[in-house]
Amino acid sequence: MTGHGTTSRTTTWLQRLLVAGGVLAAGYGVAGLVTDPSVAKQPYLRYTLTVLLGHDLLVMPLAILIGLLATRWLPQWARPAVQGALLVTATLTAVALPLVLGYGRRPDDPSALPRDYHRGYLIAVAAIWLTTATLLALRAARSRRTSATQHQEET
Amino acid sequence: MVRLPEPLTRLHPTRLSRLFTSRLRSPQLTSRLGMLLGAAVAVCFATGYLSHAIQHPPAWFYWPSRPVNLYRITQGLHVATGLAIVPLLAVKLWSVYPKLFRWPPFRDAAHAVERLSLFLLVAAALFQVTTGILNIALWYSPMSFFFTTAHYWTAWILAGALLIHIGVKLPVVRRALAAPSRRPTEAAGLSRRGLLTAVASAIGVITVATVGQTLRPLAGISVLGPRDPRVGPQGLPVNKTAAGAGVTTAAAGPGYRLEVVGPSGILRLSLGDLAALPQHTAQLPITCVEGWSATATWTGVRIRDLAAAVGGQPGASVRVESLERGSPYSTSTLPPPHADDPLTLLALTVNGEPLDLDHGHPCRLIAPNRPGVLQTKWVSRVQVLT
Ligand code: HEM
Repeated sequence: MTGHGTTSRTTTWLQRLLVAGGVLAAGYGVAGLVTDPSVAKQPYLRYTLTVLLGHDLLVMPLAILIGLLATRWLPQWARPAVQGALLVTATLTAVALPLVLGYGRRPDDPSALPRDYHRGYLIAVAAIWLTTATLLALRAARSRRTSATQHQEET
Repeated sequence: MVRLPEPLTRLHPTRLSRLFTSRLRSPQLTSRLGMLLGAAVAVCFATGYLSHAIQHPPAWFYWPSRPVNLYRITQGLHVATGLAIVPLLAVKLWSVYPKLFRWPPFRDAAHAVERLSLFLLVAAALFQVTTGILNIALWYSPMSFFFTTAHYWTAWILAGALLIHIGVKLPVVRRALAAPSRRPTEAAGLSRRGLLTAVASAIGVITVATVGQTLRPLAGISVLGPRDPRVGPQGLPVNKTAAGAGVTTAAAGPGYRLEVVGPSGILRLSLGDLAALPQHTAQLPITCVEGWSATATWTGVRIRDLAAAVGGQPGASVRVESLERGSPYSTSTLPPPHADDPLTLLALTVNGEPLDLDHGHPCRLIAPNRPGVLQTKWVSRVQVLT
């Protein structure tokens, strides 16, 4: 498959087995999808292409760009924590967005989406960034203490 | 991370993938993320297939009525793991994103086929995760196809494309995981361990923010739970209201009769007749396929007593029909383990009060270890199948 001379015979057979099983399972899925009258084909294709292209050409480049711009002017030591917090915020947003938009609410069913999701999202994001700020403050204090001791030793 | 393009000539296709300069991307990172992602997809596939098989049992399939909370655990796991896939998938795809722009796009015919299978893999993964999120948020309109069957068939496509992917990348994974973990040269930003910690934190935050929809003790801090197991009529969530099912008058009317059909004849019982039969109480959860669940105390008549009253033998299946019409969930069949289980009730009350109309008044089915869509409400007919 990948043509690396170093792979052993058992690995090669395992690879063939995995690929063959995969072709069968994926083929079963495609055949089921195509023949199932309850799946409207055109909307299905439209939706799938939209999420694929939307992710690959819009969401991912945008996330990378925002991450770049947001951490560009940060001091070196603060970058990892902020990058991590951005990642947590971004993926939480993907889960929270449909709830925050709230199109799933039902006038006759108050138990469907019963919470205030704007508030919930703000609380979660605040928790993420408060934790990050605390980590950064601890780190800054520690490095100041270290450099202070070094300074004392030097004098 | 990317370096911003200085002259626009950098955007020439042969150079595009070199725009991405993060030193964090490596086969080691991708392999480690891949293993976690593979495990998560396997959990989702197994629990999802189980839920499908309970609702559409193949001939070989057997599902017991105990433990009472088993389905609650498997389906809660399905939704929680699906949400945990969001950060895993995001970072996995980030780690291989430059490869999307490799130039030339493929080396030979085999490579072209492999890349096509990757499109199938990524598309299926994004489809499953996004439709799952839309579904638990009850936001169906962006999916102008039937969610349940589309999600089911796409699960097979995802599983198959993933097996192909693992088959192709196996040597890369082996080599990457065997290689001594070299300290990446101190780069500006996250280390590999830092990135994996961030992924774990994201999974933690997402889980805590939502899992209270099925873990009642966490309901107070799950600020983004699509359901709250404490909220609803009689302190219990509702998936389909009586108004939504169009049964309001039929269910509330005094003319209501339950038809019980079996080998020895037909009974027609009013609500008063039902209340005069021996009553039993059971603590059972409503477990929605959407991942929420809530336990309640139900009181009513045992299904097996009703079946016996019309000549049903132990070991028979029992079909339960609703006043609701024209929904795929308006009838359900209790397989023998559930039909015989003493906890399986035609409930008349919940938590000590007569059922709210939205909980299925005059009576509803409640059985252990089953999805909520099979716990038929507004029951009009019980038939012993022979
Ligand atoms: C939903 C699941 C997954 C998706 C959507 C996915 C997607 C991708 C994509 C698009 C690539 C780039 C391939 C290329 O252009 O050559 C890739 C590479 C790779 N994937 Fe996956 N993957 C998934 C799961 C896994 C799993 C389960 C494993 C291993 C256990 C894995 C291991 C790898 C490896 C080792 C590479 C190559 C990295 C490199 O060469 O630097 N992936 N994946």
